[in-house]
Amino acid sequence: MRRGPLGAAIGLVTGLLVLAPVLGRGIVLSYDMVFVPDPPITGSVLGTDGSVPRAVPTELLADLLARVLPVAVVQQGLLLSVFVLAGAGAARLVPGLPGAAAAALAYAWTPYVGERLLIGHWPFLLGYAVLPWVVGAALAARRGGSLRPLLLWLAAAAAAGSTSALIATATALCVVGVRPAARFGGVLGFAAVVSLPWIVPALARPGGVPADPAGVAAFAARSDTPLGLAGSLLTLGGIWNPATVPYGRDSALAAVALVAVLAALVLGLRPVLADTPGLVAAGAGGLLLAAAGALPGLDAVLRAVVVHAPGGGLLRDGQKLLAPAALVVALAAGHAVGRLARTPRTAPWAVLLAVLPVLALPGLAWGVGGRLTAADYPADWLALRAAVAQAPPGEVAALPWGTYRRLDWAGDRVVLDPLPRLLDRRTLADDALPLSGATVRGEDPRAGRVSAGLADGGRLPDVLRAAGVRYAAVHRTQPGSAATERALAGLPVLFSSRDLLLVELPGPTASMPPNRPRVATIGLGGAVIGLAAVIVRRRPRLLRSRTPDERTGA
Amino acid sequence: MLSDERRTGERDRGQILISTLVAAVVGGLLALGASLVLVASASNTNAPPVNKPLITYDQK
Repeated sequence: MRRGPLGAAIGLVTGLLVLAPVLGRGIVLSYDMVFVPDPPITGSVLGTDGSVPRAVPTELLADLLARVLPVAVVQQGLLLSVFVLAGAGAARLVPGLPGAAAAALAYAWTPYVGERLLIGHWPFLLGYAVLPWVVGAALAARRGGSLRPLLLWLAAAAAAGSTSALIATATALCVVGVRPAARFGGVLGFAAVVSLPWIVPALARPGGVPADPAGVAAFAARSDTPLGLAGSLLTLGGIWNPATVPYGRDSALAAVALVAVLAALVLGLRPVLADTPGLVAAGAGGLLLAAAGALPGLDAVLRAVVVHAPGGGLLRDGQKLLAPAALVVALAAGHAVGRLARTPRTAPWAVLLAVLPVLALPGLAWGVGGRLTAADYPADWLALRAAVAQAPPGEVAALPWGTYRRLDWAGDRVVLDPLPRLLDRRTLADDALPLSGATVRGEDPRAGRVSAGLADGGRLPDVLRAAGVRYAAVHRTQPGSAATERALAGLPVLFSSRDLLLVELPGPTASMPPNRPRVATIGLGGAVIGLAAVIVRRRPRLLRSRTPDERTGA
Repeated sequence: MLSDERRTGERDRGQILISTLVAAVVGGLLALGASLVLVASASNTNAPPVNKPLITYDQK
């Protein structure tokens, strides 16, 4: 058996262990992971409506897939592919089957995966799964092979969104190195071209992408184990949100995780450093950036970058930058297991080290300890969508005014309001991020004006009309629903069910900002042309790295 | 320096691979069992609030 298929098989088994409770049970809704049936292609997923282009192009691609397959199949296929791709990619980077198997398991079964899965950052996870493939292709390019595979994997990372593109590009550049400069520049330039789908909307956004400085502290990595921040990050956890930490991380099992990481690094880091020093550098840099938001001194630097540098907001939730470090640890674990497996005397230690990631984090199994649930949208949600589609043109507001919901038909767990994704209509929603101790301001100035208007005691219909809203869709079972309905009492009802209410706001409304299709044309078109150039051209000079002999003229 | 192939025979490698896979499956099953125990013990503390206060991003 070859290493890649073995890693894919291990990834598949781990994926099935993690996702078993939700497979075939409907759509998974968890924090920021929101999929809807028959998703409409809205301005948000195209990046044309002026919102921050977080959904571009990943959700666009998922929505297009959902045109030909049921959305639950698309979602669960994407989630399962994270484990398969991650396992196969990591396995290919380590020699020998035992080491490859260990690397696959160590990369697919991490707190990072569990925490990002629970919080719903599935595009990050796709980027995480693509990262070992990027590193493998970058390594081949550095050794004189074709650049084409690297560029194609960078395109795949860019398809997984801005954060994935950033991590993959930075890691690839570290691996290929700065010389020759043409190769470095070519990789960087191509990464920028395939990232145009989110770069163009971000640049074209009036006022840029404002970031609340409070977000740096709020979303800084924090300890999720008894080992403190350093131990939590070193064991590849440390997400800012304590609600998305897998069970067991706060127990003595964290010590098992630390032993596993230290054993892997002591026994297996040297060959990783010899093969891919750039990856180790990227891992160390990611680790430092992940900790920066919580370190005195560095937090001020990070805050300045997040607030003032274009794209700096991508560094806000720093723990996500641990992906290269996770790959370093996985490859070191693979090399360590391979080394121990060489002789029958140490083979049992190889087996133990190979399975330590699983033993240290049992809470990842079975839907991250039963906390991932799947459900089908109730019929009245689809009926509300149909009612909105039949209504005359006009923007909808999602109420009660708040960012997150608890849906009793989906396990009553916290989830981003699905209405803006569900409705085939521009939908204004609160985008502030409420936390236990503070609220991080959102980026939509119109939503901000609504929040301010309501805080000043303005009447809900008046505030919404002033923002250009014509319809109000109300979740009737959420905190604040009763007050919201009282504020809208007497207005024409277009749809009503136990859970949902749709009313039309009377009177003229202010004009809403226009869609800008040119943004999508330039962004998506540029990326497609760049990708097509790499695929179609037979032997472009840029796609071929010079061998050492060529470089020296021999 | 000896290569992997010289130090470890086909038979050894096969045994190591099989034992690694078996251990991975056993580890997975252990993880599954432990996870179910953890879920059962945690379920009482994670029940959604009855009166649904303001929903924040960092609530379970």
